[in-house]
Amino acid sequence: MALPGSQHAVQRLVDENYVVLYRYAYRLSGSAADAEDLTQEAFCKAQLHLGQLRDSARAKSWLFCILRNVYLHKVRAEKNRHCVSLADINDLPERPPGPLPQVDPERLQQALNELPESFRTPVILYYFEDFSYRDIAEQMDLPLGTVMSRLARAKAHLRNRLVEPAAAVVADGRRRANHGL
Amino acid sequence: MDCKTARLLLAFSRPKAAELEACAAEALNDHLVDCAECGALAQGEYRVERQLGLAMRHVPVPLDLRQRLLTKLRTERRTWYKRLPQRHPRIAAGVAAFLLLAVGLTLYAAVRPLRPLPLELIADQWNTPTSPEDVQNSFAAKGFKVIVPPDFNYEYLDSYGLQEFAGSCVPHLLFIRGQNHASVYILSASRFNATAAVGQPRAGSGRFTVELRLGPVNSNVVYLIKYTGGSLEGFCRDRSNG
Repeated sequence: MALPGSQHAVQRLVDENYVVLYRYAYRLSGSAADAEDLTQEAFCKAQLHLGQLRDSARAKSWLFCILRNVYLHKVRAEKNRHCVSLADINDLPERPPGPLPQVDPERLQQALNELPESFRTPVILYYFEDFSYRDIAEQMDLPLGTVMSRLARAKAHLRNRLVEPAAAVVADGRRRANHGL
Repeated sequence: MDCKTARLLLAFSRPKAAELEACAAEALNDHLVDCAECGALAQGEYRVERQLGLAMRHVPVPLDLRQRLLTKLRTERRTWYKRLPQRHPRIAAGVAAFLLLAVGLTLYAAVRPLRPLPLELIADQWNTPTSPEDVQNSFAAKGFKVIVPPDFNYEYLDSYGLQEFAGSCVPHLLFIRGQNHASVYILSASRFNATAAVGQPRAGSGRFTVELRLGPVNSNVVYLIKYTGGSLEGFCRDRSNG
């Protein structure tokens, strides 16, 4: 039987992490209402199992992991979620230097929503920047190589959709990226 | 480092997270400085990464989110405690029983009568001569089945009880007569080498004398006696009177 963590410890956990956790939840789910629900549920689970957190320095990773599990649990029913195929997208398209268009956060969210969760999560964690490839691999319980491969494809998708909307990203220098499959 | 390797490593070069080993990062930086084409490419990559990162983190957080979270957590905490008896009835029953017992013991401690200290009665009890059988029964009640020294005059017995000797707890009797006293430690022959010890002559420091005496046959005890006055005669029963 796990006792809830002390009120003081839980409040500290919330104060230190709720902003970043909400942002992560928003990027995962794509909606403010879902993000708030996910954040609440993640903190409720964390409160109940605070005793499992041995190293307080790992609190953020631990919370992100809980939130992702909550999210996966919620979307398990949504099997027909609309996602793009990343099979034809190059890992890292090279682009010539020059002025870059600003990235619109809403369009970014649309592009993220098109990604399967297994590609969306690493790329969100990657751009939150505190997380190394190894951190992401640990959180997702995946080999490092798999994380790097998924990241490369997800990043390529985002650039294709956001940074270079006009430029075709060619797989192997020949095939064109195929959106909305 | 050649351009191909540099562009491969560029994917792992991040401004804030050290993904590359120090030597690889240094070699890459050297190449980016030397090679204008790769350098420009890297600058472009970093700008794209920065923009995507900024956009990724650009999520407005509701103003009262923190308060709503804390309220929800407080409610969940209260609910968890309220539902505890339903989820774990045995634990709840145990806690309730413990609380009842604690309350009961506290109440009992508060209302129980204190034992009196009647000095006359106590003095009478202490003045009543104790027989060897009484002493033996008292030790037996404490788990020590021993035979007390039969030669002593128990009218001089001042006190008896258990005392520490050589790391063991042993029965002890104190006889007092006038200015002199005799301490008797009853040692079990199964724990001390009594046969070898009894042959020793009595020893003394001038202030007191120490000697060993074997207990009665089959008693399996030996008496270690420390006494003052130079002799035990005064503490022993008058044999002529039986």
